[in-house]
Amino acid sequence: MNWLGIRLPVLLAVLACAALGGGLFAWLLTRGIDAPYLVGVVVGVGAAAVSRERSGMRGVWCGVFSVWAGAIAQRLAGPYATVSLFGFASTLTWGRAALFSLGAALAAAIGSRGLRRPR
Amino acid sequence: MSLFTSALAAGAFFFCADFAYTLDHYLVHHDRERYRRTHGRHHRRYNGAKDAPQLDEYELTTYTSAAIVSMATMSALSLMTGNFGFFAGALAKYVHSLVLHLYQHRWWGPVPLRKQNLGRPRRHWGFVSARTHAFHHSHPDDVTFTYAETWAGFDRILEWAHPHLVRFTADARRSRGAEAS
Ligand SMILES: [Zn+2]
Ligand SMILES: [Zn+2]
Repeated sequence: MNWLGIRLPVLLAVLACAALGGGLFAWLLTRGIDAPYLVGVVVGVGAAAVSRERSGMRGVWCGVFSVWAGAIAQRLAGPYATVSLFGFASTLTWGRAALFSLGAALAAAIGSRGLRRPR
Repeated sequence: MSLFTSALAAGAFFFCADFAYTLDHYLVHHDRERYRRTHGRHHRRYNGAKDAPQLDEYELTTYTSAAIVSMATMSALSLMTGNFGFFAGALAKYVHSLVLHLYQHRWWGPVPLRKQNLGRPRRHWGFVSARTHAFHHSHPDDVTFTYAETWAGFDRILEWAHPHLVRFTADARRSRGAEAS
């Protein structure tokens, strides 16, 4: 265990899933579909799939990374691409803020579980 | 984003984190097993003559990993609210923890803490001093609570809540379990 409280391979898997989920979210944005919570689902499922035991700390990291990945993704493609990361909050209506929060909550809830069979 | 709302957000996080720290500190002192495994070494360390570096690896790791997690979650909150005070508050909490601990080392020298007769801190509602924290190290379970890191008011509140709260601690649960069996 390191200072982040999660193992390095798991962290790498979480980051990879954050990139994947962010990519999916950005691709859907270019097609007019705004579904930021999907980032959280992809991150959570990915983290749980590579983990054997429950970990609240891993859930927290999943929530954090899903928010950042969503923010970076909408900066790269779609209707919000012109807004800088510092202005991210200005793209959040109450509805969008709720969807992002839902994504973070899903990432934390799913990501804290361990779906891999114990050895 | 005005300076006022940033400061407010930073203060709000600092206050909540300080409360969480104080409560957890109280709980670890009422959980013999966890105390022995983790926090107890922190106390043992300062009660002898100084024989080790200021912050050892265990302490740096505990403070830093708690700080990294709170900075990360606050970074996400700052991003979503556009108020970077939340992140600044997490950073400030970490700096304060480290400074308080490094400063209490003034009382960690050739003469063991207990022999220095620091004197029990009076019960007050102001800020916690490094001297109070040094006293805590030599008197972990004193009747005057010294669990807080920043605001001594949390200790006063815990002293008031203690008779009710103590029933929910791990030690109380364990002794109930021992009685039942
Ligand atoms: Zn201490
Ligand atoms: Zn203590």
